[in-house]
Order: sequence, then C-alpha cells, then structure tokens
Amino acid sequence: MTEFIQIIVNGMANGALYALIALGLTLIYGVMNLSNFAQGEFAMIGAFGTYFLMQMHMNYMLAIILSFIIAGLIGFVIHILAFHPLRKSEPLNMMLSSLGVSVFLVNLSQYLFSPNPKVVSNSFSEKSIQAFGVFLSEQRILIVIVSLILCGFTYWLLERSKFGRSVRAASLDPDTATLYGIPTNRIAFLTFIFGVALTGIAGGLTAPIYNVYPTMGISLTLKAFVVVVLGGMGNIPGAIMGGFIVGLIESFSAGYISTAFQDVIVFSALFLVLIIKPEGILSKVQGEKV
Amino acid sequence: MTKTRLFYTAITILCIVCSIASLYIQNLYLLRVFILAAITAILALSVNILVGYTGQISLGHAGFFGIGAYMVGILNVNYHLSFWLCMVIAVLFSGLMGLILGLPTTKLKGHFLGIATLGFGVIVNGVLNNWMQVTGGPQGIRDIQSPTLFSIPLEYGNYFLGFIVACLSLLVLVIYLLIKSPVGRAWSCLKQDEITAYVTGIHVYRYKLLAFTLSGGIAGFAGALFAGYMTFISPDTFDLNQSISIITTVILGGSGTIAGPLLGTALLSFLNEWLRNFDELRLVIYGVILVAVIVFIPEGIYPFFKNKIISLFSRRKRVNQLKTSIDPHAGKDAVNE
Amino acid sequence: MNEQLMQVNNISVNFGGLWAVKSIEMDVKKNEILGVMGPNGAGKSTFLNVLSGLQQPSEGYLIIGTQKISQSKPWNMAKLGLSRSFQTVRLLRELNVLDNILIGGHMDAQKQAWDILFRTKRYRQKEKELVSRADNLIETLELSEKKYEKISRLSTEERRRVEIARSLMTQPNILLLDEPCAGLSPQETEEISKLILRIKEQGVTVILVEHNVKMIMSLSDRIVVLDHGQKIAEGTPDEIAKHEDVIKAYLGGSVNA
Ligand SMILES: Nc1ncnc2c1ncn2[C@@H]1O[C@H](COP(=O)(O)OP(=O)(O)O)[C@@H](O)[C@H]1O
Ligand SMILES: [Mg+2]
Repeated sequence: MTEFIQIIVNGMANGALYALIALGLTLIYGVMNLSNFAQGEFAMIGAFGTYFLMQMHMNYMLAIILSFIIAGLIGFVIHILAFHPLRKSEPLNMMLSSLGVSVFLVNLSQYLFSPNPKVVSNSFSEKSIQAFGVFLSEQRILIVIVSLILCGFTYWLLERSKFGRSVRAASLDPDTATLYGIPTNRIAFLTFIFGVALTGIAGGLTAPIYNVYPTMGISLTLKAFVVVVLGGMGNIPGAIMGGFIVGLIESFSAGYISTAFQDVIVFSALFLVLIIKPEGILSKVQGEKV
Repeated sequence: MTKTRLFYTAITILCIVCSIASLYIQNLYLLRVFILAAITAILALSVNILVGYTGQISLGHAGFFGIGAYMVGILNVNYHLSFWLCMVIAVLFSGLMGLILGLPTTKLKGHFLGIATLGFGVIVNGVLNNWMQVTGGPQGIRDIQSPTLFSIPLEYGNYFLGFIVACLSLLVLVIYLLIKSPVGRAWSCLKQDEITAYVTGIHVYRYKLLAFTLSGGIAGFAGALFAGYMTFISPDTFDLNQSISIITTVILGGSGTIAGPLLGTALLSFLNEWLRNFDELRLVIYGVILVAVIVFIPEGIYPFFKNKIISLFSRRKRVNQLKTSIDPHAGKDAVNE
Repeated sequence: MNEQLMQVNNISVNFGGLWAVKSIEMDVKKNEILGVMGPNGAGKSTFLNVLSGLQQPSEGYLIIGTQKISQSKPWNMAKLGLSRSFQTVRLLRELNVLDNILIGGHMDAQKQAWDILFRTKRYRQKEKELVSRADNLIETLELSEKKYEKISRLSTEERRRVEIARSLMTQPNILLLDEPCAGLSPQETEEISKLILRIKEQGVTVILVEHNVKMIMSLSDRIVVLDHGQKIAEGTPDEIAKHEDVIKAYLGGSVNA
C-alpha cells in the first residue's frame, strides 16, 4: 500500500513538471501554429543555468528565477533567427526548423559542458517528509507546488489580462485579430518567450532530482507532446490533467511493469486516446465548415 | 505516353551506367558512403510518398526501417531463412505495419499525425531495445548472412552498390509510374484539398492508407538492404534522430518531387562526411545549416534551383510570373459562409 | 419525363441546438432543374452538404433509385451519381485546368496495380478516353484557350466553369450547384445560365441553389423555398412568385421574374 502511494506521489511530481512544459508548448502552438520540438531543450537550458548559478553559490530559488530569464533571453534570440522569418510559411517548415534548433542546442551544450551528468543539490533535495509511512521528498513537493502556481498564474494571465485576451484572439483567428489592431507578431514573440521561459523553470525544478545533462530535454519534449495531445491543443486545464495522467501512467508502469517499457507504455496510451478520441480527452470538436 | 517512355529510357540508361561504374570504385570508404547514401535515398523516397504526395507527416519512419532490418536479422540468424525470403517477408510485414499505423492515424491531421507517428517510432525503438529474447536488446543482432544474387556474392561492396543502384532505379521508376497515374492524381487532390477529393468520389482514407502501406513497405525494404549490407544491426540506428534525419532529407531536397529527395540525400550525405572534419562541432553545424536552409529556402533546394534556372532561361516564364504576382484573384480561397 | 430520381425524406441537420435544416421533404425528378432558394443562412448550403455526403443528417434519409441512405460517405454519394460545385470555388490552385477536370474522372479510371505498373493497353485506352472526355468538356464550356493555364490565373467566372466541368466529368445523374453566380457580373450570370440550360439538355438533372431570384425564376422547372431551415413553399416559378410566405421571407424583395 505504501508503495502504491509512493508511486502516486512520484507520478504527481513528474506530472506537474510535464504539465508545466506542456503549457509552454500548447501556448506556442496556439499562437504560432508551431510544434516546437526544441521545447525540452529550454528545460535543459534552465537546468544548466540553475547548475552554474548554484556553482556561484547563489540561492536555489533565486537561481530558478534567473533561469526563467536566461531561457527567455535565449528563446528571444532563437525566435528571431529561426521562427520569425518563417511566420508565413507552412507549419511543417517551422516544425523542422525547431528540430534544427534542438539538434543545435543539444550538441552545443554537449560541446561546451560535456555529456556527463552534473549533480545539483539544494536544501530540499536531501530532505524528505515522512507521513503515513510514505517518504515525500521535499523537492518533489516543491515541484508540484511551483508548477501548479505557475499553471494557475498562466491561466489567470490568459483569462483576465489584456495580454491574455490578445493571445486568445491571436490563437483563435490571427487574421481577424490583426484587423482589430492586435499586434499578432509581437504577441507571437512574447508568447514564445514566455512559453520557453516557463519550461526553463521546469528545468531548474527537475535538476536536483534527475541531474543536468545535454540530452535531458529530448524525453521531456516527447512527454510534453503526449500531454498536449491528451489534453487537447491550446487547453490549459487539459494540459494539467494530461500532465498528471502521463506522470501517473509513467510511474505506474515503472513501478509495476518495467522502467524500460515506460516510454512504450506512455506512447501506447497516446495511441489509444488518438484512436478513441482524436481531438484529445478534454477538447471540444471543431468541424471544418464547407 | 512519350514522356513516360523517355523517363523510362533515361532511368534504364542511368541505372546501367551507375551499376557498371560502381564496379570500378576502388576506394572502400567511398564505396561505403555510396551504399549508405543509396539506402538513405530509398528511405527518403518512402517518406516522400507520405509527405510529398499525400501531405501527411511521418516522424517515425525509422520504425519501419528498423522493422525491415530486424525482420531480416531475426529470421535469417534465428530461423536460417535465406536472405531473399527474409527480405520479402520484411517488406510485406513493414507494409502491414504501415497499414496498421495508418488505420488510426489517417484520420489525424498535421501536428497530431506528427506526434502519433513519432510515438510509433519511439515504441518500435523501445521494443527493439528491450525485448531481449527476440531482438537481442541494445547489443543487436550479429552475423546476418550477406545475400548472394545468382551466385554473385553481394558481400563485396562493388557488387552490392551495383545491386542497390538497380533497386533504387526500379523504385524511382515505380514511383514515377504511380504518381503519373490516377492514383497519383487522387493523392495530389487529397493533399491539396480533401473536400474536393471527397466530392469527386475519391475514397480519401483508402488512398491515405495505400500511401502508408507503400511507404512502410519501402522503408522496410531499405531496412532489409541495410541488414544485408551491414550484417550487424542494433537499435540505435533506428531511433528518433534517424526519423528526423529522413524527413529532413526529403524537405530540404524538395518534397513532392522525385529529384528532391534524391538531391537531398546526396547533399546531406556529402555534408555529413565533410562535417566529420569538425569532430565534436559536427552536429552543432548540422543544426545551424538545417535551420538556415529552411529559413532561406523553405520550398526545398531542388524546386528552388529549378525555378531559378527556368526563370533564367526563359523570358516568357518570367513575364508569366510577373502576371501571377499581380493576379487579383491570388488571395486564399475563403471558406464558404 | 416525370420519373423520380431521388426522394428526400424528413432531412434535418442540427448544429449544437440550431436547426440549420429542419424536416425537409422533396422529390427530385429526372431531367428537371430544381431551384432551391431562400435568404442567406436559410440552410441551402447545408442541405447540399447533406446531399453530397459532406454533412451527416441528424434525422431523415434519402432514397436514390431503390437505395435508402441515411448516413453516407461523400465518395459513396459521388458513386451514386451526385456531383456538386461549391459556393466558394474549390479547385486545386497549383494545377492547370485540364488536370483539375481530370480529377473528376477518378471513379472511371483504371486503378489496378497491374495496369498502372505495366501501362497495359486497356489502361492507355482508358486514360486517352478520359483526356478526350475532359477535352470535350473544355470545349463545351469554352475553356479551350485556358486549357493549360493554372487555376490561380483564371477569373472567377472561368473558375466557376472549371468547377462545373469537373463535376460533369464524374458523369453525374444529379448536378448540385451552390450559388454558381455568386460574385459574377450580369453578363457572366447570363453565360452561366445558358450553360445550365445546356447541361439540362444533355439529360442531367440540376439542383440549383441561388440567391439571385431573377435567375432562378427563369431557369427552374420547379422551385423549393427554404427559410430558417424549413421548406416554406414548393411549386412552379409562377406559383412561387405569388406565394405569400415567400414574399414575406424576402420582405419587400421583388419576386417577380
Ligand atoms: N459547420 C457549421 N457549424 C455550425 N453552424 C453552421 C455550420 N454550417 C452552417 N451553419 C449555420 O447553419 C445555418 C445555415 O447555413 P447555410 O446552409 O450556409 O445557409 P445558406 O447557404 O442558405 O446561406 C446558418 O445559420 C449557419 O450559421
Ligand atoms: Mg450558402
């Protein structure tokens, strides 16, 4: 029984992380129509940022906040070079461009920092709370709390703020939004930067548990995509739900089947969803008008 | 019909010339590069059927490639079937896998399809890596028999290259015949506008499934050839990077054309070899080039240069292009109110 | 002459609470022009979508020949001899006129693998036949000069004609035209009207959806009037012109032909 609860708790922590990354992914998809395969690499950037800042004896929480900014700045440069010029081209080209960005970032960091994993230890990572015979690592609790707060903040931002209204308008119908004077290009810029910066935080959060290494982003990207498909593109509550679902499937298959088949099971679940309900679990159907 | 015959003759001549030339290549390194490039070209043509002709994305083609290679590996090493029989089974089986993958995914579009096919690739790779008893896990399968064709041992690179060039030419011919037929017309229609395809009586899903099946089968064929040439296979050849590299080859070269994927293969193979000089920076530069080409030549290298050359040589064409750019009706067809 | 081709039974379409089409009944007879008119948003296009299989009806069914059809895929409707044009023209912009029309020959084409790979005699004959059929259509629709022109370089009226040619290429029993004169000048409308009459003479039944009252009144043998998804009147053009509900629906618009 305690093992069961332990698995659930671990799954929730991973799920919250995936939700946070998927949130950035789905925002970017909504506004730019870009399936960003370099999303996970920004988690890698955030994680390296956190690692180096902590090497300079910076406080962990502060380092995470700075890694938000670092990821955002790098995102800014990459958007200008790799995505902005393609804004009118086919979505497939943007997707390929993001694959190129991913290859570039992974290998550059391998070149600069070596492929060896780096350990980040903070005041949370060693400690754990024991409740009802279950060990809850403080870091995992921190991950869940911070992720949920950020998801909530983003939700609020989209629903309540002027920026959010523009983002929603731009993702529903860019042409009309432009007619109404919404600067869709600038919105695309800001959304991209915000989306990857959120992922930067996710990287900083995961660093103390899974270490920091150049290829860490790839599997995060894949999981985030599964989350987005499960939750429906452009759907924030869906992303959170989907995040938890993927996290739980993953930790249950690791706990009861085998760690090796974890990815296979996650993607099989994805197929199941796509077969049964191709629009995602939580999304509404939108037909093509003839 | 004359155009078809011309193409047919050109391909036959090219095939014979290349096959003979391949016997005179002395440099073993060069031979290996050519053979692997030819296998990549077959893969690129198979992805092109999906991406270029029917407008579907595949980010998991390494899965079919792997299934083809492993079918040959497993059947040949464990069950001692002859290479050719293994190859036939491999092609049929990966075609079947294409059909099965297509059943749920032909209803999907764009990004969803991309992620679903990507998932397929991840699942296949996961199985190859972890189903120890059958696939040998990360160690892979060794000592696959080199094929012999009419008592010509293909374990010699020259012969293998000649053989694979012949295969490639035949494939090009078959694809050409296909896209210049009602099937190709139906594909191009459903790629450009599915609703038009519906109302002209094209069974859209059946044609998409056909593309998936053919594409899977051809990629499996490439896998079988790969297994026969390398005699050793392991899962890391058939991973996500491979899938991405295949689709990149197609799009960079120019999807939806026959020459595009071939040109893409040639350029990227050359680029890959050249970048070996840069050692650790190899993939960094690769990434930069990839982004640069997409940003500057999004339509693909072959169509880009083709248009350039055409507009250089014919004034009439240039005038026509001017006309198009001021066409009052050039706007996107609005969807009906 | 009065042989029945298709019967529409109680067809309804519901879009999330809104009945775009509600309980429509009608008969379609052989070799007539059946006009369907109604104000914007009356449900005319939605009705055509049901007939062409692009929209599944929420209720009701069609009877074509002896077959009862309630839910059907568009390609099956095409095989049953229904072909259509769209309110906003749908053509493949990157292809030329001939290729666009050839798409309509899909159902008749030789598609067996053997024929395609070996270019058998019957394959070549069939292809030749399709091309000559397309050529004939191009000639009758007066598109000869534009045969190899890309769609993106044609005028709106030419595009409309190419779309009709593609529909005719499927050799339909019933041709569905969704506002074929929307966005055309009076002269162009006149041209298309003549074309529709010629199509009828060839023995094709036409269901003509039009906004242009004058045109539909002059062309149709019978007219069905829709409003808010419901059939409010049916009859000959003369009867329709006098019908009170129709005049009310068009509120002051002149219904006199
Ligand atoms: N795909 C759809 N989803 C929701 N409502 C639709 C859809 N298509 C049409 N409608 C609605 O159905 C009604 C009828 O539309 P339509 O058939 O296009 O009218 P018409 O062609 O007579 O102008 C309109 O109110 C329209 O808004
Ligand atoms: Mg309409």
